[in-house]
Amino acid sequence: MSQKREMVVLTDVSLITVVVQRGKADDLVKAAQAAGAQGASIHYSHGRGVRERLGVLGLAVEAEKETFHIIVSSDQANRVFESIYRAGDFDTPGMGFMWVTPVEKAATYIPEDILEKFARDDRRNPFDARPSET
Amino acid sequence: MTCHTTHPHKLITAILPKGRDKELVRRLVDELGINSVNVNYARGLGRITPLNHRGVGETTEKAIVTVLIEEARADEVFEFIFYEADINQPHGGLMFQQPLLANTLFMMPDIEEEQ
Repeated sequence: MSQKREMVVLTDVSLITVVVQRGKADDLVKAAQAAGAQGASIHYSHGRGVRERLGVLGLAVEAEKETFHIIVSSDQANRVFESIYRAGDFDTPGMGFMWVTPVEKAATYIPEDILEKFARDDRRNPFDARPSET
Repeated sequence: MTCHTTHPHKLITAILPKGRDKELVRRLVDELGINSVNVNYARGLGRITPLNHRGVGETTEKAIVTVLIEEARADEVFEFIFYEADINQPHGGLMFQQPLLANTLFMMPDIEEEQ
């Protein structure tokens, strides 16, 4: 007997990628969560650019970077983006940069009670959850 | 000079609990014949990460698997990763698919793999 498998695909989601000086990511992730983001994955990286252009002032910019990714629903993307921008002082040279890229679809475990809520209130579902049977 | 493919490709990214990546990568290469798989490691946090998996305010280790795949096979590979990496289980991670504007082809020479 084959077991029915169901994959719930989330659409209308966006990926926010942020590059900041090492040690600053945790605070910015907290700011993102305060604006509605669920979580983030953070890794270390190494960058160059504005640090070299700032001359002696560039010494104040950490060359080691932290890069983090956050998946958010598209209608939350602007709010989370702005929250990170403000918390990270991105209008100051050398503080980092960030961008949003489109995501066609996403998938993760979604608890049964959440799925039932989506089914009841599908029109107001911000993720446009779409079960597909295989 | 044309240095990129005109066939549309997709980028599939899976953020998995650390340790679940090696077997997945092996199966993607051996069973599906994909040779454009990359892995990097990260730390991650989420609202529903259980406290017995982390301390308060702490993060857990993650493996990020990225796969470059032609559009025609994208759905098949997306579904393969979803089930075989146990993303459909609680705390199984997250995956997503993105369109690409351009990409290079990575063609392997016709030689046998070293054992």
